[in-house]
Amino acid sequence: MAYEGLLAETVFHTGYDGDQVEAYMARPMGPGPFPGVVVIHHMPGWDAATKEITRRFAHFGYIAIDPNLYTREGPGEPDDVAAVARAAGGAPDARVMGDVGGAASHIRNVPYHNGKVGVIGFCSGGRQTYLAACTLDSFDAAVDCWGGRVIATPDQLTERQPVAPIDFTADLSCPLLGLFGDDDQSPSPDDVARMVEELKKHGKTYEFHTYEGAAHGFFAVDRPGYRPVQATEAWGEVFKWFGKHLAG
Amino acid sequence: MYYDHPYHAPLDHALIIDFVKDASKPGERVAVELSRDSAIRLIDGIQSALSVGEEAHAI
Repeated sequence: MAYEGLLAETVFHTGYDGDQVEAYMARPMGPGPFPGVVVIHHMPGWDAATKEITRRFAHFGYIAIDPNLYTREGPGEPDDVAAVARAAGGAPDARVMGDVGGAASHIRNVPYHNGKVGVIGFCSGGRQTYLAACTLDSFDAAVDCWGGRVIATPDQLTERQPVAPIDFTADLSCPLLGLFGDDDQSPSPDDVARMVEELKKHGKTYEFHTYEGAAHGFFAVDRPGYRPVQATEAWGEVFKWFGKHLAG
Repeated sequence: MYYDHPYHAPLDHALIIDFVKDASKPGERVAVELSRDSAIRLIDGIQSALSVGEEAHAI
């Protein structure tokens, strides 16, 4: 069901270490109860495209929240703040998990929520989605959109990102949908095959779709890599997945 | 300087160069986002300017 009336606003929620984290939150107008989704932005930060995706979820009946994972690097314009975060080596995984879990709790505390929360992330946010689905008990379903470095070589691990998310696969606590492009190199088709192998090994509930003729970030309507046919099909899979696993 | 998804340019990937006064202050930055071809032309342009300048000034 689509909702024409939405409310979208900036809110603050408690995150890692008790910090107040700014977030963009959108919800359908109506009594609910509605399922919730945490939307994790990509490396370029808390940008207009991710906020548009947040509103898309609200349009289709979800309470959606997009935490600004670079809140501590601000205040400032999102592009400048993202540059500071990037120069520092990206947001630390521990801090991101605290913020993402806090965003899920924020949804769980609103009176019009149905009790279920999903998580979706794009690019580096896809990696963080995998990590959140494995290391937090906050979620009922997850969608990893082309998350790079779920598999990492030792030289790709840093103080801020110390463990490859795939190493936590045994702890995956909710069904996982993965969306990938077969022309992507981060993750490459081989990386995706290794993820499947690991998920199978641990008997996890997952569904992966790899789209022909699509590369990294094929949902981005303002970039040359946008693939409307594949993106439309993949968005359909997202809403089927959340519709199935987040029903109240 | 990095090659990744740009914030503003309508490209999948770009070379992004941040000129910063203080890396910890978000507002103190001038940034350029270049396509790969433009970045290579910039490298060539810098090398050419350095080479011409060094010759002209007998450095």
